[in-house]
Amino acid sequence: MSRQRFLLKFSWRNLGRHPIRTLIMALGLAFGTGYIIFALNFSASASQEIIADFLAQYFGNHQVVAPGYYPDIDKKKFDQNYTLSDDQVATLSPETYVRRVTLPIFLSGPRKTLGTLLTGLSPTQELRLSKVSKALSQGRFLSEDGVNEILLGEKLARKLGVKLGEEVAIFGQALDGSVANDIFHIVGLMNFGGGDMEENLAFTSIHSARTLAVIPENRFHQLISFGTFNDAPPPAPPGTEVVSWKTILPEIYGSMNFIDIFTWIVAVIIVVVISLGMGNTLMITFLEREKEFYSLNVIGARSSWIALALGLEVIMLGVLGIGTGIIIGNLVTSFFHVVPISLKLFTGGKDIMMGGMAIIPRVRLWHHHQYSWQAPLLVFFFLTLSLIFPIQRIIQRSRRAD
Amino acid sequence: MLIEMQNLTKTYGEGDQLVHATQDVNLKILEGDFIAVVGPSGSGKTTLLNLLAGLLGPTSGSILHRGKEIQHLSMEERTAHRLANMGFVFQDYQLLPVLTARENVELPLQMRNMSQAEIDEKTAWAMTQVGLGDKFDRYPRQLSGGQQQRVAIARAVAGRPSLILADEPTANLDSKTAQDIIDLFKKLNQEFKLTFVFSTHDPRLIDQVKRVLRINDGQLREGKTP
Repeated sequence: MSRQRFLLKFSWRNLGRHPIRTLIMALGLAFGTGYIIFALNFSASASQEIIADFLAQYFGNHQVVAPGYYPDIDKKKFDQNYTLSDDQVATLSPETYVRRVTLPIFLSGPRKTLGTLLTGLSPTQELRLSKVSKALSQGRFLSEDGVNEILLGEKLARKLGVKLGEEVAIFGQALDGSVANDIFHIVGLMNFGGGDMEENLAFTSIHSARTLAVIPENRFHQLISFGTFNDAPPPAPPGTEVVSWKTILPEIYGSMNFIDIFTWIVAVIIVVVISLGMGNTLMITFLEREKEFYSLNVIGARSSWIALALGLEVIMLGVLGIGTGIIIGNLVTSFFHVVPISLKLFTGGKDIMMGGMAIIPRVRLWHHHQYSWQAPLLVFFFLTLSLIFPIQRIIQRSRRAD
Repeated sequence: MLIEMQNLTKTYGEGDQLVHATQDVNLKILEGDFIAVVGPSGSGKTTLLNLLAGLLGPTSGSILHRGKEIQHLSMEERTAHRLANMGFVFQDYQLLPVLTARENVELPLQMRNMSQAEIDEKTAWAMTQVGLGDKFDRYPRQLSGGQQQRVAIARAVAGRPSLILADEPTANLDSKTAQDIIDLFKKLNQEFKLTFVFSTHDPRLIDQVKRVLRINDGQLREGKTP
């Protein structure tokens, strides 16, 4: 035990031989580790917040549908003939789900008739759970007891040649095979940032949609979850299918993964650069002490003893630097949790368009605790690698050839 | 017999560049010997000490330490042999600046995995013998050259090795301090029968030793007269 204590003391004091150099190396490790923790938290938080914001506007985190509603290959296509009943989803909490009816229709105004997707929704539930209403730019949101009220995207309204307060004609196919048609009154216009959604979506109350398409009052197409973004979807109740947003929007999930992988690649490059610098500085530091190592060998220090002493120095330096880096990374993350970063700095003041919707470019950083050990482990791994060559060379030199 | 060198030759280089650092050396060192190795610069003094310490392996011939051949040992085995049996004093002391005088003396004892009580006892004994019993906690930078060399001697003798090798131990010291160091060597040799072999080219020291080994161009000759 005394031997280990002696070695620790020896290595610790050696760190103080060149205080400025030790400080620079420790700061390099600290800021490198801190930056990587911050960057990983930023990347994960940004993609999570942006996607959560996007999903909260319309798609939800997962949907419960009737098997067959989404054909297997392309989840963007659906078959409106597949509906669910309230009884089938009775086990799912109504606190986090909204019911929707989605109908492909033709919408006719004075200028044009356009194919559109009409979403029938429960106004009260949507106001409570989703952010659909946030896109309202003119007029009011749908009312629970309103009849044949409709919300249109601003772009869609312009193309149809209609304004707030005017009427549009809808015709399509009801579920009983009859022609569905009626006149709807425009109570509000929606602004999704000028994207495709603004051109393709119209909203009415679920009651009006059911009446239009002859759907019984207890049936609907989708039960959409607006719970916590990261929560795993629940098991599907019998006779239903649970579809995650990752399946419905694979291209957005793919981009999220790409950002994560890209951040890790950048992190590894940063660590490699730091390690090369560290390795070079360690080599210089150790070579300056070449005579000392030789003398140690003369008085009986085995190469393993010298290597252990040097290794301990670097481990202590690593613990100091990386430990400080963990604190820095988490403090910076905490700061940007309280003061979210506006991505408008990077987008020239414009909104981010995703899936046809404008996303508020503001990121609140969240602590992803796995990065507080993954990033330090990565830095420590490369620090250890950077140590191998200098130590090997020092040991060779300390044992001068015969 | 402590050390026996038989037909020991050490050469460097090859062909026209071949240099005989020691040539066909035969030498016997007895327990308690007090030997000075003298010769001009580049004559082979340091090579001879390095061969004795096992820091260099001979080109031919053999070195026996208490009957055990050491030239065939691996580098690691020679290091372990040195740690267990030898002490070494350098011309420039080679104390570790981050360790106190006490810790410098402790260093080889720590490497030998002794108990802390034994280390403390041996360190105190060595520091007392070299007259630095009151400077345990000074760092090398807080000591004079002579005091640093005393710490180095304490480090070399603390483990009571069978052989203490010193390479020009007085070269960096003024004449009075140099004499004090030689007196210390003599005292340790006489009181504790420690065997000393040291190199020097200070002629004043030659009269004070039992045996003088003269080396020139790698050839070894014994005798006080040049």
